[in-house]
Formats: sequence, structure tokens, C-alpha cells
Amino acid sequence: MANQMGKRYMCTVCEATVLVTKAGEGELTCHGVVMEMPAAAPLPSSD
Amino acid sequence: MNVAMVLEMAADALGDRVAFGGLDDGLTYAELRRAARAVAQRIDEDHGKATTVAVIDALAPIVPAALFGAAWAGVSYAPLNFRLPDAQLDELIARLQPAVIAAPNWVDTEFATAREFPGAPEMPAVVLFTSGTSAAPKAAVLRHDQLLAYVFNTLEFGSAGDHEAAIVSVPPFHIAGVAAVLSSTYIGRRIVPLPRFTAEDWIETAQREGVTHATVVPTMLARIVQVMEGDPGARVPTLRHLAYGGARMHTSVLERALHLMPETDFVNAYGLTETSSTVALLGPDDHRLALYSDEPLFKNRLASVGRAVPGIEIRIADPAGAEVAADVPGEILIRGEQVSGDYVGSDSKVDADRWLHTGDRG
Repeated sequence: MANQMGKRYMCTVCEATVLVTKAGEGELTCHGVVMEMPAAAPLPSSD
Repeated sequence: MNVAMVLEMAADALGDRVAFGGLDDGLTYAELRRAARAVAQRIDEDHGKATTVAVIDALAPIVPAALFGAAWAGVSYAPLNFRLPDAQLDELIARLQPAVIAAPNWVDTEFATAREFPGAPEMPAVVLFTSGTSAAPKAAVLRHDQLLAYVFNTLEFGSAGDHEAAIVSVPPFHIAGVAAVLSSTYIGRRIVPLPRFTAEDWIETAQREGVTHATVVPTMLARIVQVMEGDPGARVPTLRHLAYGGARMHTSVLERALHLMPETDFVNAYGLTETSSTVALLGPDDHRLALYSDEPLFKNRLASVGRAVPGIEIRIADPAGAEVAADVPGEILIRGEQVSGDYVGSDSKVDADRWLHTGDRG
């Protein structure tokens, strides 16, 4: 479900990106489409 | 935007995981959130209406509790160098007034009251005094949205496995100390504090706690390398990852370290107080390529601070601000959402196009 805490989701139509900061029940949609998790390569830790 | 959301997210999703200290007696993220609220309560009770909370302690629970507690209370968090003589500390505190000084026992959660999650404060999140070469230190200001830009652009929430632990030996009043608390909390990696650094204590603590990650400044790495060279038993087999920065690293020390710890991933992190810490990284692959390759192109990478992190632009400029050609030295300029360059009572180092003039040569 497109609603996981701390995950980023992107609209495939307009590329708007959101970050979930509080978990909830609903699923994120934009332009009528369920938002997707963009593939991201994590950076190495620096702190 | 409020940096307290970093701890809020960790406490909601990873509440029972140890945030700070040993596995047996450390504070969990849920407990750390209560401690932060307790600190906020104490700040609210200050009748002088403080707009800054100063912390004059070595790394201990009060440090993360005050960093997040200040955000809860909408005041600035100002960690001060506890090794300074009283007269100098008094001068710094005078510049922060109206300020209140946090006591270590403020983490006592008996005082934590339920409170509504705060909105975006007017006051900056953090004030750090940067040691100047000549005159009085400048009070560098970092705002909530700048620090959060660093967190959100470079980190993935909760990405640390619950076996991970970071040994933190950089002091709280250094940008690396602030970044260590924010980053470790956001990714869910336990902080193992080492308030007073010696190479022997660092190795012993890292062994005992099964530390997986570490960040050091070059002088610390030089000392650790010396001890390791003198004692084959002085190793930290769990150490997967070692980041270094804060000053120039001598290639000879780095090469010795790479040979002593071949299983460890090394990362060079370049950043300033004014940029909310890291803006460029040289990753583990580049370190290994440089060590094992004969190609000058790769070998020279050990002298590089790597590539810009997401959201950051870096330019090398001549004195007029124009970009210079490749391989030509100039001043390092940095631009991005995590960049500040603002000070209390001093001119900003950011120009009209939002480029920070670092004064660093690169």
C-alpha cells in the first residue's frame, strides 16, 4: 500500500513527490493513480 | 517544518529500539521522545522567556533530548564547548540571551507532559559557534528547513538494521555532533556515545558494543591507526563503515587505515557548519579503486572529497565569482536547500545568487 512511514512516493503523471511522516490508513493517490516508490540508490553514511 | 519530526517519526515507527547508549541500559526512541518533552517543559517553565537553550555537556542523554526538546519548545539549541574557561563561556552565553542552560537531569521524564506537536518555529533550530582564526567566534545559524533538507535529501527513514550501532566521539558543539544525532535518529541506528576520546577507549568501546559504523576526524583516525599498528588484537571486526571529515586527511594515514581495515567501507565526507554538514561524499568503491589501482586517475581520488550529495550544487570560482576550468583551483561555492551561511550579528556568507562563499580552496 502506498502509505508506509518514512517512504517517498511519486506521481507518475506530474512527478510530485511526497514523504510520509505519519502512518495512516489510506493509500496515496495523485491524478487518480496510486503513487509509486521511486527507485533510489542510498548514499553511504557520513555521520 | 520542525526537526522534532525526526524523533517523532522514529518514536512512532521504532519506539522500542534503543536510540542512545548500551543495549541493556540505553534510552529507546520512545523514551528519548519523553525526555525531549521533559526538556521542553523545563524550557517553558523558565520565567525569563528564553529563546535559546544552551547545553554545556559532553555527549550524554541531555544532548539529543535538548536538541529535540528545543524544537518542541520552539527555541534554539546551542551546544557549547564544555572545555572553555568560564569567562569565555559567559561571553558566548551573553550573546545568546535570553537563554537558559539545560541541566543533565532535565531528561527526567517525570516532567514530560503530553503536548501537541509543534508547528514551524520562528527561532532557528541550532546555533553553533564556529572557531574563527582571529576575532571572536561567529554564531552560525541553522534553520529547521535547512537541517531537514539535509536529512530528507541524503537519508532513508528507518534504513538501519536493528543490529547497527554508531560510535560517536565527535563533540556535541561541532556540526558533526549535531548531524550524528539527527541522522542516527532518522535512520534508526543506535548511538554509542564516547564522550572523551582516546584511541584505546574507542577500540575497546567499539568492540564491546559491536559497533558497525563510526565517524571520526583525521586526528582521531591517526591515533586509532597507531594503536592498531602496535597491537594486532586491537581490531573492530563488526565495523562495516568508517566516515571521516572535518579537516584535511593525510593520504599516508588514510592508506595505512585502509590496509589495517580491508573489510571496512571508508567514506570521506566534506561539509561545513554552514551547510548543515555533508555536501560531498567520496564512497567506498572510490577508496578501494584508489588503493588497488595503478591508474593515476583512480589513485588521485584519495585526495578528492568526491561528489555532491542530492540537492547540492558545487562550483569552483575565481575571485570574481566566475566558474574556473577543470583542474584549476579556486574558491569552493556551494548552493542548496541545506545551506545556511547566516550568523547572529555577522554578515551572511551567501551572495545574491544564493551561493555560499566557503573560503575553502579546492
